[in-house]
Parts: sequence; structure tokens; C-alpha cells
Amino acid sequence: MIVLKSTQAKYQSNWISIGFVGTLFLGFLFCLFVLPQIYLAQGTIQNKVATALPLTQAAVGFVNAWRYRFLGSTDDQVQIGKDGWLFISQDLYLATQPLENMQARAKAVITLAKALRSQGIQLMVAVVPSKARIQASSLRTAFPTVLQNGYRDFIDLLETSGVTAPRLDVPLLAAAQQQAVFLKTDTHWNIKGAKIAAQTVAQAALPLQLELPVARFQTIQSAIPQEISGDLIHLMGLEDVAVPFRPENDVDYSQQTQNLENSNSGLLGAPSSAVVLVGTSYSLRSNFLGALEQSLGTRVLSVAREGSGFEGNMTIFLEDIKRSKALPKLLIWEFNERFLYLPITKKLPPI
Amino acid sequence: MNFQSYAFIFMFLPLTLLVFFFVPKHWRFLPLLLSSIIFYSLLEIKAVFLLWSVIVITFLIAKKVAQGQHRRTWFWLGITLNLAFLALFKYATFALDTLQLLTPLLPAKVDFQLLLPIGLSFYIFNAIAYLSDVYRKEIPASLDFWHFATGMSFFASLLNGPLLRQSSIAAQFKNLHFDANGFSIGAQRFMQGFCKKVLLADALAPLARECFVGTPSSANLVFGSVLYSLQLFFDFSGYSDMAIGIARMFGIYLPENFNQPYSATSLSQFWQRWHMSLSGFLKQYVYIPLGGNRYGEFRTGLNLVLTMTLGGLWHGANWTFICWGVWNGIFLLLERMFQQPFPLPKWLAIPRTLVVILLGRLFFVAPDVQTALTYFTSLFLGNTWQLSQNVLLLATPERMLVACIAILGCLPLQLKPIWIKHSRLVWLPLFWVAIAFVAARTAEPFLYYKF
Repeated sequence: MIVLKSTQAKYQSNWISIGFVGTLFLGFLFCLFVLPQIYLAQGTIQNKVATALPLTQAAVGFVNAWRYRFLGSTDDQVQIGKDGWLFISQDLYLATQPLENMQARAKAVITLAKALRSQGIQLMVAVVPSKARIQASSLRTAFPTVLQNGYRDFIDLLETSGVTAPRLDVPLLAAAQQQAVFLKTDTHWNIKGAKIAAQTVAQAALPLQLELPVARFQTIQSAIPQEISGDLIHLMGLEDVAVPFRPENDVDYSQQTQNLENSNSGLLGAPSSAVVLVGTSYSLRSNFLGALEQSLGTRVLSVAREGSGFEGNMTIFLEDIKRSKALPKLLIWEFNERFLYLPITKKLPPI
Repeated sequence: MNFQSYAFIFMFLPLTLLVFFFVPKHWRFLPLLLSSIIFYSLLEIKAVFLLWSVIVITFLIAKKVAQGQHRRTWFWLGITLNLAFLALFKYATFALDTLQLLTPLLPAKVDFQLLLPIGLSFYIFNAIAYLSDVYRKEIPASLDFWHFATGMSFFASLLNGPLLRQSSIAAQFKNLHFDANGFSIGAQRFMQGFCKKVLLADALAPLARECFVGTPSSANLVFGSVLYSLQLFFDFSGYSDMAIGIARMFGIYLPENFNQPYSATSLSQFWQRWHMSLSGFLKQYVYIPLGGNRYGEFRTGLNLVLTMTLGGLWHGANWTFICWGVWNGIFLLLERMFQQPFPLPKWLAIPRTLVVILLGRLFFVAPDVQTALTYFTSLFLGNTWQLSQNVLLLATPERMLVACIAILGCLPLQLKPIWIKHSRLVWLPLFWVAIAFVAARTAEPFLYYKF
């Protein structure tokens, strides 16, 4: 019996050793195959090997699918909501002194608005309310109490100082009661949300009585809705994973807005716009720009950029207008609510 | 290069094993020495020179000590030089800052910052232990230089220990032979450590860190202290397991470093089970030379506090570590005074010990003493028994499951022999899962790297 036990233990040990050595040397062989890529990759030796190894991406997919499916968890950058809804964690994380940061940002915006007004530019601030605020019923946790009035308070601070800042949260919240206004697996709004926001911004521009050049637009919608694999799925590292192991893709129509006349061209055919949109990825998604042009009835020059955050694109715009002769009448500054609560790290440049 | 990186497990380790396997027995220390140099160079090329200075100086001085002439002078010269290296690279800035605080009349703050080489505290203590052993004639200084250098710079234990006594280590490099059973034991141990680090410690790290951000609530502090203690244990014991496992694969025996510390029934028992190689060092080379318990109760108490304070200071150049050392020293003293007259049953003694340990960890995690004191005030006088929003967001079902497994892993569970036998089979698939997790998660450095 003792002999049998010891043989069994030895047998187990051998298999463990073979498995271990096999794993190590299989990895070693893979490394040999991709040695040139390892040599050319950037960073430390650790990063080089991890980047160059062919199975890394598959491992990431496997782990994340397993975590999502069996543990109901994912990367810390994403929060899993109810019924396939995903949220970016930044919408819910609390920075240190979020309300003080929000007030500091309001102050910076008011100062900028005054400086722009002295140059004949009217600033309108369009703060996109966070997805977690609008689609709060799909969250698994409550929206942070501290931030509950943050959006409204920021808008109030601007409005009190004479800066036009439409409240996008009110129409979006009302619409969200009936139908989603954000994509389930993406941080951004859907076609409906973008349209509501654009219409609200256009409405807020009316009292400014700016004489904007008129243009006519037509919006065409795709006949069949398209599948959208949201940016949050990518953040979860699940883009290459089959559907049962990841949330289902969103489905939404695509829209395109066209200018019906070509009369708004400036010198040499370059577009001259009385309205400029400085924005983030929200301005680039779900035909927000087209819907805004159609609602305003004028051409809008968009200088929106992916991942530009709060001050990123505005800084570039302010540097540009120093060299520009044709200044816009209306400057629409779009950014997301989540940036309001973060401490200011970069100041806006003086005009 | 971290033990849990792909570069280590898929390139460095197999290559070293391959070369080691094909080299004749008597030369097998050579691939280990070379790979140790490469390993350390990949981390900090400049620090290699410091390591080798320590090795050469210690070896030469130990020879002089062993020769007998002026042995006391040579011994103290060796100790002083080693401590000078430690003081210069680890404690100089701290000493200058403290001096500045104590003597405000001094001119403006001196900006003096030297690179702190990873593992410095470990190999300096190894060198001191070697000199002391030679001086006390516990071992002859007749070791071969190359064996000594391999022992001192051995990549498995270089960065985070266990602290080694050269008497037991260097001799093993003389005759390294491949042993299939030893290799299997080593492989299992490495996989255990790897899983502990990747699947448990690294999973808990972001949540444990978040608990101490800003002005933490009482609930955050309690939760954070528990999580940090779990993370620290699985991080450091994971490293130790990997180090012991790697060494065993090459036929080398390293001393154990942990023995179920969180089930200790007293603080003194805890220190016999936690970072055992450091506790052993402090006892052997500090507490006993100070007089140990040979000169009455007062001196014993003083020696205890002094030894633990030095142990605290070893962890880092910060008053928080000194406070942590004093904290441990005082509680050891109190335990010594009250344990015999008032013994506690085991079910009460374990939680009591844990409370002292967890509270002491507040000094360990705080960036400065003022913050540590704020933690204590918040814990005992604060009334916010609610976890913060950010902590709740990070407390995912996955982390809670990991925390439960980690707690179970700390308990002294008595498994049936059949379970123990078959549990070995679990490590290989878990190792594969852990390898996949390395790719999916941001790598967390070992906590003891900074010490």
C-alpha cells in the first residue's frame, strides 16, 4: 500500500514537472519565434516580451471573458450595470474635493467667456451629463449623492455670470424615461440622445439673437440598424470574445446630415462658419454635429477631437484664433460632466 | 524584471535552466552567477556596481577577520562599511530632513537624493550576517569567492530575500546536482507563489490602496487594514515561495520565511512566523548581542523595543517605520509582562494578536506620521462607519471572492492527507490561469521592493 502511494505521488509529481517545464519551454519557443518583434518593441524587457508574444491577446480575452461571465466583474475602468448596460467608472468615482474642483472650473469658464466676449465671440457651454446620471436606473449602485446637484450647480454658476449654458440633463432625463439616450456598451449617446442635445443647444442659441448665415440641411438615416461594439467593451478587453462571454453589441441607426446648398463657402471654397464647435468625442458621435447644424440652420465648423477632455481642444482653438482674422460669432464648447469634478491640472491660455 | 513577468517565466528562467542542465556539476554555479548579474542589470545597471563592491569588500574583510590579526578592527571596519553603504543610499535624505527639523537654524533644505537600489537592505544584511558569523568563528572564511559571490547575488533571493546565512548557502554552490524530485517540489512551490501573487495579492491591491486615499472613513480604515494585510502576506509570501521554489529547481535550499503568521496566538509567535529570516537575523545579530534577556526585566524590555525599532527602520527611511517598530516593541513588552499572569484562550488570543498587527499596519501604510495619527484619530474618534463611494466601486464580486479565498488561505486549516495529496494537481491549471491574468492586469510591483 505504501509503495503504491509513493508511486502515485511520484507519478503526480512527474506530471506536474512535465506540465510546468512544458509551459515554460512552450513560452520560450514562442519567444524565439518572435525574437525580432521583441527586439523592436518599445519599453522595458517585460513590456517587450508581453507585447510581442502572440498569445497575449488571447489570454487577455480568456481572462476577461471568464471574469465577466462567471464573476460578474471586469476591468476597474468599467462598471457593469443592469441588463447589459455598461458605464465608465470615471462617471462614478469621486475625486478629492469634487465640488471645489467644479467651482474652480466654473470660474475658469466664466473668465474665458468674458475674454471671448471682448473679442465679439459669444461662448456657449454644452456640458454633456454623465451617462450614469441619465441612465441611473440601469446602474447597480446609486449615483453618488455628492454629485447629485453638481451638474445643476455648475450650470447655475455659469448662467448667473451671464454665460449661456443650456441644461442638457433635463430633456435627456425626460427622454430616457421612454427610450435609451445613451448606447448600452459605449460611453457616448445614441442618435436620439445626440439629437435631443443638439436641439437643446440650438434652442439656447435663439435668445442670443446672433445673425447667423442660413443654410438648409437634410438628414438621411440608414435603412437597417447597425451593430455597434461600444468603447466600453474594448476597455473590458472583450472585443475579440464571442457574445455569450461578453455583453451584446448595441444596435442603432446611422444618420448623416448634408448641406443642401453650397452657398456658404468662403474664399477659395473653404468653409467660413459663424459657429464653431469645440468638443470631445461626443461631438463626433451619433451625428451630433449634423443634428446641431440642422437645428441651428447654419453651418458649424467642428474642431472636435477624440479624448480632448476639458481644456485640450479649447487650448488649441484659443491658440488658433490668435492667428485667425475671421472670428466666429458663436463658440460652442462641449465637454463631459465627469471632467468638472477633477482638479485643474492645466490652465487655459490667455487670449 | 519581476518573477511574475513573461520575460522571466518564458525567457529568463527556461534559458537559465537549460544552460544549468547542460553544464558540468562543478561549474553549475557559473550560469547562476551570470544570470544573476543579467537579472540585476535588467533592473538597475548602476546598482550592479554597488552590489559587487559590497561582495568584494565583504569577502576580503572576512578573510582578514578569519586570519586572526586585528580581527576585531577588521570586523568593525566591515560592519561600518556595509552600514555606510546602507546609510548613504537609503537613509541619507531621511537623516538630513530630520536634522533640518530638529535644528531649524540650519540653512535651507539640502536636496540630496541617491538612487535606492532594489534589494540593498537584503544583501547588506546578508553581508553583515556573514561577517558576524566569521568573527564569531561560527563559520570559516574559507569559502570560494565565486561561490560566495553567487550566494550573495543569487537572483532568486537577491531582491526580497529570504535573508541568507552564507554558511548554509554558499557551500551549496560547490556541488549543484539536478534532482528530479527536488525540481518537482521547486516547480510546485514556484507555481504556488506565482498564484498567490498574481491571483490574490495583485487582485486586492487596487482596493486596498483606495481604502487609504484622501481622508479615509473609519470603515475604510478597518477594511483597508484587513485587505492590505492580506495583500502584504500573499505578496511577500508569494515572492518567498517563488524564491524558494526557483532555488529548489536548481538544487539549492533556501530558508522558509513564513509559517501561517495570521494564526499566531501571540505577538512573539507572530514574529517567529512572519518574515522569519529577518526576525531570525534581528534576534541573532541585534537582540542577543544587546544582551537579550540576560540582564533583568528592564534591560530585556529595552532590548526588545530597540530591536523592533531597528527592524522597523530596516523597512524604510521614514518615521512611520520607526513608529511601527516601537509599536511592535511595546506590545511585545506588554505581552511579556501580562501573558503569564493572564493567559488567554486560543480563540481570543488569535484575534487579539491580529488587532495589534492590523492597527500597527496603519503606521506601515501611512506616508508620514501625521497621516498615521490622522488614521488613528479617524478610527477611534470618527463616526463614519460607511465605506467610501470609490471603495464600493472597486469592491467587485471578483475581489470579494478573492478576499474570502485569501482569508481561508490564512487560516490554519487541517486538510485530510488525501486532500493534501491531490491538491498538488491544482497548481498547474491555476498556474496557467495566473499566466493569463498577468496579461490582463496591470502588473503590481512587489511591496517589499521598496524596502
